[in-house]
Amino acid sequence: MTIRLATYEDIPAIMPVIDAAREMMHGSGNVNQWINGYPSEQVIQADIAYDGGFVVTDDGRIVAYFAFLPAPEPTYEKIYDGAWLNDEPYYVIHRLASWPDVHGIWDCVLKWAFERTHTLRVDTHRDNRIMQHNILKHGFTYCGIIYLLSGDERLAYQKTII
Amino acid sequence: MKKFIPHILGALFVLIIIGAWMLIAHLVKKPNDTQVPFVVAHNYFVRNDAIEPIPAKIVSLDEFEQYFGMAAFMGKNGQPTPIDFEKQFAIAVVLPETNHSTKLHAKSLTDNGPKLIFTYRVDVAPKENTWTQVPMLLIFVDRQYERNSVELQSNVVTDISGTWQVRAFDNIMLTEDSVSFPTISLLENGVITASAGCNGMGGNYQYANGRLIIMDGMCQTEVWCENEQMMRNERLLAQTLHDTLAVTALSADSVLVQGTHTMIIVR
Repeated sequence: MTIRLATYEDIPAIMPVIDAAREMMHGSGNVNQWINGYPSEQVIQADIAYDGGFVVTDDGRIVAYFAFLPAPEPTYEKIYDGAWLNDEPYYVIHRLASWPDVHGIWDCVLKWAFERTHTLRVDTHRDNRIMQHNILKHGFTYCGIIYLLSGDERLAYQKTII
Repeated sequence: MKKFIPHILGALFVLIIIGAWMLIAHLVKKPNDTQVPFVVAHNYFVRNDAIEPIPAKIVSLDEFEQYFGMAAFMGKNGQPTPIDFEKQFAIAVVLPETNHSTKLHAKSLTDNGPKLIFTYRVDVAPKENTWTQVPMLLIFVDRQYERNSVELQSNVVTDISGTWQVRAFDNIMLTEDSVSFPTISLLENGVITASAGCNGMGGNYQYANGRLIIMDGMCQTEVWCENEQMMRNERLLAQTLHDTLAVTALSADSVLVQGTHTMIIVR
């Protein structure tokens, strides 16, 4: 599997991955995350415009998508029920989506990300048990609650490597 | 039957003596000696739509859910501390949003007769973060200890009125070489005045539970003064004295004020 910057031309191949991930998410009981069409094509376009949209390819096929964006993440500027681990420069990973039949994406993305930053912050919905499991399995620490611009709350995690 | 009467009377006498002793013991016991057990609650957060002020004592789930959400997550210690409002009530401490890492520690809960006194300590890191947090502390207490009111006691300053000198801005100590220390006067009628030695500024404030709220901003004169240090102090003073500030005691006579900038002030 390889990871590369997404382009606008990739969008037709990215959106079905997003749709499939959303379906899987809702099917596993996490019905309140990625609702009302989020993340839309416009959101993916914005990621790409900021050079923050990435695709994971396998034999040339786009099998996953994620956003990898540098700080500051506005919604991480205020945290409830806790504190971030430190004030180191960080990146965030958002909108991780993959085809349900493809495994090992999170491992691959994290390995790639930590070659580019020492600190990652991520968030997920309280009902997204799969993502929470993956986050904790990779040594992230629960830091508290953050609020999205929509007003929805999310569990926030951070990992810093030395 | 008659032969049992002396025994019954004797037993009654003993019971009366024990009852009287218990009554006397209860009456002479110092009410503020009673420590009340409590549970420190974890994995709750202050809702961002909670309407302030958040009461110190919360006795129903409906009320609790107006102010707090559950931060349940997978993994060790991921479950919120359970509360049953049939049997328990909650005591909450919520401090103003701050960009200083702030930890609250529960110290004790004391039954003082008409009220419960909850004592906690606030630890504030001097370094400013790029993010803010909403420090909070929740404890759950058995209903049998419920009293009419709850008093919160901490190293948060209870009475801020008086005249204070600013001794440091943003952890840099001021010297009195060329200019005097800036002063802040908090009058009991809710008027605040401040000066760094050049211009004067004034406004209105409210203070409660470690929150100093500057109402509607401060008005100030705008004379230009030659001393650069004085002007710098004045600028920092004006920038700090607005909106809501967190006030915590550093010692008996020095206080940390946190807003846009941090100030150490002394009486």
